[in-house]
Amino acid sequence: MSRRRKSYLKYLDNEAISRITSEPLLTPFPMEGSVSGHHRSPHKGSSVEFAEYREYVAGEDPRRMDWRVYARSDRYYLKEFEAETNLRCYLTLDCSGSMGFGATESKLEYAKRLAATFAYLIIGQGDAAGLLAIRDKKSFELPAKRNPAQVQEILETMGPLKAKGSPSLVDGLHDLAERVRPRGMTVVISDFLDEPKDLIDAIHHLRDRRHDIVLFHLIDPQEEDFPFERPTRFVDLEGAGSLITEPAVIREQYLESMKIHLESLTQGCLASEADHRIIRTDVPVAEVLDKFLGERSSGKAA
Amino acid sequence: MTFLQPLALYGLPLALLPVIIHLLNLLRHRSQPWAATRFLLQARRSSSKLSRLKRWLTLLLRVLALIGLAFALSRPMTGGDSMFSFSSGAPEAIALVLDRSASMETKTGEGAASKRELALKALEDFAKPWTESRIVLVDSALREPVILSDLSTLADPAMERYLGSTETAADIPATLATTLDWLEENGVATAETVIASDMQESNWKPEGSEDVLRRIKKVLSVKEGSWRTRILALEGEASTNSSILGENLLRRSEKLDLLANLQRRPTGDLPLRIMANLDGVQSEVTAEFKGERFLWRASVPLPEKKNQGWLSLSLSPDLCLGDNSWYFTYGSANRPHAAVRADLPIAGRILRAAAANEKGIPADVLPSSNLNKEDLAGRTLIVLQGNPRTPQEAELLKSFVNGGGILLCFPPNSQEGIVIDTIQWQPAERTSDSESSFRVNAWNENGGILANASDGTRLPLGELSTTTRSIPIGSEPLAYFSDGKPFLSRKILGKGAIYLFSTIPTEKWSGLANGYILVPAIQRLMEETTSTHSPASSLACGSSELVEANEIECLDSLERKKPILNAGVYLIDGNMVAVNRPHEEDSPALLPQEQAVDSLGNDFVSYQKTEALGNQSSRAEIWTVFLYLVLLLLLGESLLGLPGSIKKRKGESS
Repeated sequence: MSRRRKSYLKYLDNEAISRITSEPLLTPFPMEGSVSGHHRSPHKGSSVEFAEYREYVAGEDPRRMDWRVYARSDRYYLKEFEAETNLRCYLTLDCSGSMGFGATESKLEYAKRLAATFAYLIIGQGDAAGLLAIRDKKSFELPAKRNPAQVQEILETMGPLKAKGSPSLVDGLHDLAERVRPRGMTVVISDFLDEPKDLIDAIHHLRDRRHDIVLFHLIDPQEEDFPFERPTRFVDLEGAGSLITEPAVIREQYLESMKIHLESLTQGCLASEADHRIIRTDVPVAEVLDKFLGERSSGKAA
Repeated sequence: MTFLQPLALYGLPLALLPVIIHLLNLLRHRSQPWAATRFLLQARRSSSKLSRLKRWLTLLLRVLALIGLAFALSRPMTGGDSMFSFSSGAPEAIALVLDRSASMETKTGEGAASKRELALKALEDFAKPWTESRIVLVDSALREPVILSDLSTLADPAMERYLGSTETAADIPATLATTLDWLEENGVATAETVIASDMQESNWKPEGSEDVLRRIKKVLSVKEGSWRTRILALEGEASTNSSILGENLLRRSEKLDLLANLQRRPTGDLPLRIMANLDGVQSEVTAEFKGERFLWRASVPLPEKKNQGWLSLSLSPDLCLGDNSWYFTYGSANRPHAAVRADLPIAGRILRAAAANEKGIPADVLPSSNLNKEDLAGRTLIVLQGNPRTPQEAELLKSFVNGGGILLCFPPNSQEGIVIDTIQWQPAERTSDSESSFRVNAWNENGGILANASDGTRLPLGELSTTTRSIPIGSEPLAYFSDGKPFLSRKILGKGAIYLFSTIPTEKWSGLANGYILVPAIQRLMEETTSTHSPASSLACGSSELVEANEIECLDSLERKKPILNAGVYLIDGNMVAVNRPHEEDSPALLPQEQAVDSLGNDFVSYQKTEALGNQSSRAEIWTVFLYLVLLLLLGESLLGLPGSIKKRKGESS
């Protein structure tokens, strides 16, 4: 393994892997996979899980007919079973300039650790994971695969990415919804600083395609606490200029604006059954994933 | 407002410190890369006006707190002329001009201090804060600048001579001029002059002191505010007061006939008790009258025949002590003989008879020419019909009048002769027909030589028939003919006066010869001259004659009174003299504020009314007020910061 490749392994959170490998990731929505798996499929298949009885329609395969029912009721019924398939998970990483902010660790670095560990867990349970890195209207895409080498591919793809440019997450999500037909899980890791209405529209678009959507909303502790006192010149990381102000004067209004933004996103996600999770970047990745998987297993999540 | 430590005011620019710190903070801002700029922009847009106002208000409170601190350290004083006077407030000299006239002894209420005492208290309070200034006192009675070593001297009994009560009148312009002269002579650069006066118009002499006032105005103007003048007006009247003002005392053979004006406020009908002291023997008399004013006539019997003596009349003590006493002196009953010179013999005879003494002996006759000094020696009244023959005679008669004599003149029969002083006679004027006459229709019935008799009977002037008249020019009319021309005139010359009738007591001229008018008029003139020229006489307290006196002995009291300050009866250089308050002290007229300030020049003169006495007394350092203000401002600044902190804590706890 080269030194470069070795350095990307740092994005795999060992604590998270050790804590949650036994916990399977389940989705409440039917998924369309290519092979058999743990996830519910929208199609009826030949698994051992009984689904329903359905009246026979001429032209259907007579081998699936339940003859015992015919003997008792003199009617033709088909006995159907649940199909179980694998999951296609698309890890969508926002690489806009704002993701480069962070007091100790940038949001992008945290997002990479979260995405890498998540991909490892997905592939580890036999599901497929892909990567979509959106940066300044350019996307770096890795199709979803269930091959164990896919983890390495994902690490090498997102490892060298830098936070840069203006926000283009909304366009990327719309594009993703159009291109990826089979139902899958879309995990979006971003700071979601775009216009809430546009973001919600994009989420609706994805939900229309029957995707299970999980939004990991990354917030730096400084963004949430706004601990500045002295007059400060805030330089926008996405190139929108700078602003000199007295934090003490605008602190209350800043926090209020942020609260409104988060509430609108949360409300939009609730409406579209997307799983919106606000993550402070000072919270360990293991804790975030443990909580996420736990809630998924218990069915608390959307 | 003035400041005891004005140097501390140089600290005022430090008040800008919070603003400078604020600007410096803005300049030395740190740079912070930021992702959530959209929230910052929204926050700045929606940052409420209240929040900005709070910020600026906080800054303002800090600035004001520093200003307040600078003011507190500069030790501000109340009572300045302007709202702020950035001088040290400590003039090089403080001159206190004290009105010590009799009217300053008025008290505005029972138990209250007199105006003079109030003035002294106010002056003391005024000068107290300026410990480093020289203090000079100039009182109106003595007009001698007295330098006070410190303010406690004002309470020193030894200062009674300069601060005590007097029965004098005041000449405020002259006293102020003396004060300014002293300041000039001592090279005083900055001075505060306070004039404490009851603003009696007669003391301020707006008419008659024009030259002095003009000089004062000029001096104050030249000093351009470095010499400031404050008028401290002690207004207010005594609610209850009785006063006595002597008019005349006539010595009869065995009695004294006195005439005095009694006045009381408020009006009443109770008899007024008067203590009389005749040559040291006290008795009580009552004057029964109703109303406010009364011309009181009384006779006091003389127990023994003395050539001269004195009589004092005193009212009970009231709120105004300065007008409660009057002193008279009396002399011999023998009147000096009058003398007559007339161009017309018939007129001469009538006039001699009219000017007869109390024993009926006609007046002496003066020589018809070459009048000399010896002819006039010992005379008090000269009756002259016609003009002086020579200029020497005119000059002699003029000096006689200047010395206190009375000259009674009647028109000349012709225009020949020399005029006396500036008096001239118009040509004789006859009535147009023999049946008509010039009628007298206006004269003073209450005073003067044509006044009503003691029983109120009018002199029959209205019935006097005048067919020929000659009007004098250059004199003041006292009685008028119906056409407005004078029937009787007077001209004051020196200590005496010239009386002029416009007609002659002859049949050809008028009916004066019947004596109904002529005799009382001449006899009254003789009485007047008698009281003036008797060995014992009367002088106004503080008059210049008293200043030159060498030997003085007080006769009415054992107190060590001085005639220049106190009323009383004195033996001055061997002459018995009644010294009384000047008549003008009884005048109630006050000088209006505008006129008082204007008379001294508006620019550097301020006026404080009686109410200001309280403020003047409360003149004190007010740095504590500013200190409390600073504390309040700082408290306000803290409170402005408080609500935000509470919200923050609430937010954190939730």
